[in-house]
Amino acid sequence: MAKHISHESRIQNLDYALSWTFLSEKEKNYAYYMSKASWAGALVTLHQISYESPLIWCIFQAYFADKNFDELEASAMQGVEGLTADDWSKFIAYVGGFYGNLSNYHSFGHMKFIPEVSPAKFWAILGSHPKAGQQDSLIQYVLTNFKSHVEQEVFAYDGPYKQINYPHEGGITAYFSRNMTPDDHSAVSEFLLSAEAIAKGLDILNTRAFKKSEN
Amino acid sequence: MEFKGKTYEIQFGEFARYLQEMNNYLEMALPYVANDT
Repeated sequence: MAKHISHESRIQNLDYALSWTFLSEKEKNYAYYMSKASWAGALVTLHQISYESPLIWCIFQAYFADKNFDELEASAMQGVEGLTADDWSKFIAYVGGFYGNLSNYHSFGHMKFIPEVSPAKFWAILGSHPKAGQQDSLIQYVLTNFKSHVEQEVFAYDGPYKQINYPHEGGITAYFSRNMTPDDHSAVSEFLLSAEAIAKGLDILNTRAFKKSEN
Repeated sequence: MEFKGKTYEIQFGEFARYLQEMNNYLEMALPYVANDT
């Protein structure tokens, strides 16, 4: 799996305007509400993949909230020292990869990908948002409150950050806390598969575990 | 709850807000499904 998302990957809008007109009212309503349901549920994925994904999502949502893509690009090119068109393409490729995988890990293979621009340029681009200087703006809020929590994780590529796996097998996972040992995993698995846990409505497939003490 | 010498503190509903919204939209889609409900 690639360490970076290729900036030669094309990002384009789905052109379904004509096809949409061929649907009946019933089909249109069905497609619309299923789409809304899919996106509402999809956000769970962010939490299930990595610690940093929900916050990165919030930062990107704030950055692109006004849907002013050309203005964002112009502001970045003018406001970020040394930024090239190639850098901008690589930044957008990372964002596209993040949204496409709903995390900063490839959905196939579970290997991490990181921005192909330097950390300084990456954060400077986000900070070049036209409203970043406004006290009550969403972009200023997320950069002020979220950036410090994820700025290392966005670029960390050495173990254990490189892949999703059990911590004792050299990876990271949002399902188990990093202080858990193989014995802890076995104990939790045994518990979640027990009749007592199932009677409580627990399911091993969607339950996360965090170790608070040895017992 | 206790299980084999370990204490498990169980919390439900971590993603409830997302799933509530998802369920709301699924209910709104229900009148438009093609198959019998």
